[in-house]
Amino acid sequence: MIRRTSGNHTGNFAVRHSLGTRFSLHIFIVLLIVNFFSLLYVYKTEQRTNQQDLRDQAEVIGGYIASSVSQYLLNYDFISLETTLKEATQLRGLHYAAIVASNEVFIAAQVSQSCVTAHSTAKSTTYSSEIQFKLLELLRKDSSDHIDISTPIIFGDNYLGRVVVGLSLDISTKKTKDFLAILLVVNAIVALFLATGIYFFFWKNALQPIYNLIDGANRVADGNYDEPVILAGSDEIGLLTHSFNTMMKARKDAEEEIRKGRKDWERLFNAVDDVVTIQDNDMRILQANTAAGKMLNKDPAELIGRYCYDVFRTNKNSACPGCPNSQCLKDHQNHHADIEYSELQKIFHISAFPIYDEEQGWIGIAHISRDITDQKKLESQYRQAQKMEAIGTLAGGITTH
Amino acid sequence: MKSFYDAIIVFIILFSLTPTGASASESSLILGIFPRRNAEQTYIMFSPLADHLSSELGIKVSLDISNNFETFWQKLSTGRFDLIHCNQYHYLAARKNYNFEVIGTNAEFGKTTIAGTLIVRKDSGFNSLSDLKGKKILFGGGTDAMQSYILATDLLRQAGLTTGDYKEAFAITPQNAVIGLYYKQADAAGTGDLALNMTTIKNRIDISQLKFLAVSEQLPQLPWAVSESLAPEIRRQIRRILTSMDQSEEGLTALKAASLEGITPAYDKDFDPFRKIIQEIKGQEF
Repeated sequence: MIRRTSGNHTGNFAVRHSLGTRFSLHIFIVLLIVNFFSLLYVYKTEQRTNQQDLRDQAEVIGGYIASSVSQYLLNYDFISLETTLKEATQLRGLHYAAIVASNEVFIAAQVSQSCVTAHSTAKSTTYSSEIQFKLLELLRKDSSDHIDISTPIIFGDNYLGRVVVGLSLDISTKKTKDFLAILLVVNAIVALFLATGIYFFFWKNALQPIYNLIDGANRVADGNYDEPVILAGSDEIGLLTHSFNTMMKARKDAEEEIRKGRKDWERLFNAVDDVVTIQDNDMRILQANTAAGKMLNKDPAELIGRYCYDVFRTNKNSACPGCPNSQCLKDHQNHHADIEYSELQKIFHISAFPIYDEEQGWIGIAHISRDITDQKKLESQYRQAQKMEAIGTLAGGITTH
Repeated sequence: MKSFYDAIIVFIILFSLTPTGASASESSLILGIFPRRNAEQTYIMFSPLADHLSSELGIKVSLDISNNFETFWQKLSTGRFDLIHCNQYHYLAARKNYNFEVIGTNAEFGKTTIAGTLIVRKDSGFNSLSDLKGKKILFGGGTDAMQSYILATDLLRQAGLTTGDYKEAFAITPQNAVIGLYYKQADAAGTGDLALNMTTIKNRIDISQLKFLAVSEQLPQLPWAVSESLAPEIRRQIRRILTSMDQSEEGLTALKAASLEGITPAYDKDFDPFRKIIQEIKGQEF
């Protein structure tokens, strides 16, 4: 059985019932049925032919005996008749031979030694005519293992009687069996070649293109669109292969588009100076831009999978106090807050935006952190300067007065 | 054509190898046996007797078997045989025409005589010879067969049946006539009274289904005769050897093989009753 795995994308799925095996099995069964009936027909024909040959042979033997015994019959030489029949029954396959006179009385009979042994309990090898006649009657009653032929004994224009011979079917049966054995061997060889030929035809024209398609599908699953499936003729499978290649090209173009869009988005995502992360509803970072890595002094890829509050602070197990993410998680609304991270010695203006999918609805949070440390510092200095200016103004007024 | 030439060559070889008779040379003798049984069986049965005779006589004795009565008679008439075992008719004819001299007769089945018989099947419903009128009678051996035809025909004549009152058919041997009757190929069989005792018959058919319809008077058994062309001393020796076979172990073995109990000394006058019957049936004077 052919066992083909369909690649990593389909796990352990394997071809359990190969189409080729099933097809071969069907061919074999069909050949078996066709062979059975053709063999039966040929066997029966051969059997009839061999039985006719045997009948002809029996008639030849009968004719020979008839020509030998006519003079004995004319001379009423029963002892010589018996001797002639005895010699005749030495012939291979002759079960018995008998002479029936013109008045239909059996006047001589001889049963072959093998039949005598098979049918008589007597130990002696010589048997009286009476026993021979009884055995003859017994044998003629059951004609399943021999054919019984009568040949007339003619002398001049006179009918003297007839010769009865029983010729064993063994000769015919053996001939038929030998023929059948040869026929079976020849048929088996022909069937084997035929089945092999049909299988290879099927393999080349159907299975091979299907396996090519399977390989093509595996390549597509692996993202390899550069190697189209080899076209196999102009039949239905050829059409299917063509359609598959067209689909492969379309998918390649679509993925190129997606890849391009994604690239554009990633470029945009990384072009922003603000720290931007995409988080799930547990505040686990799914994506982080270059600015985030730069800010946290890490590769953005290292941030993936980590909790937001664990990235911006050390060993913290909960969201930062005042984090707009928490609010956003609750109400799926935009929230903003300024949060100071003492460990980073920075103050961030944090905005949390819910992300919606057209089909799945709310799927996460876009978390944008803008470093406003300098702005806050300038604001503080400005406020300090204003304060000093006010004090100076106040002090000048006092001095003047 | 080739087979024809082959047959001629075989015939010439066989003829050249076979002695033409002791009258020309008494270094070998030919014993002719009449076809009472089939040729193969006859050869097996009488070979030991020929060997015994040969051994005792000091002269090679060859067996000559004939397939039928006609062949036997042809060989006899050409002077082929020095010693014959035949039926009573053949002896009388050989005596008259070829100077054969009887030396003994068979003793078998406890008897030194035989009779001609007519046998029928028990289920035939025949109880007397007159029932055979218009029926088919199978005689064994032909018209020269003493017991099977001549004596059996004499019985029919005594019962008032003449030629044409029944249909004659001839089996090649008397045993075949009995077998033919058993297998319903005839209504009656003419044969000897000892036929049913023969193993050839008993091994083949159920003799209990047959019965004797008529039996002739008991007459001398089948004869053994020598050609008077042989030297008197040899004839005397042959007579002595054959009639004393039952007195030696070797002789008894040969007799047993031939299904005989002995060969009883016999003389030509013992066959006078046959001469009378043959004259009546066949019109021949012996």
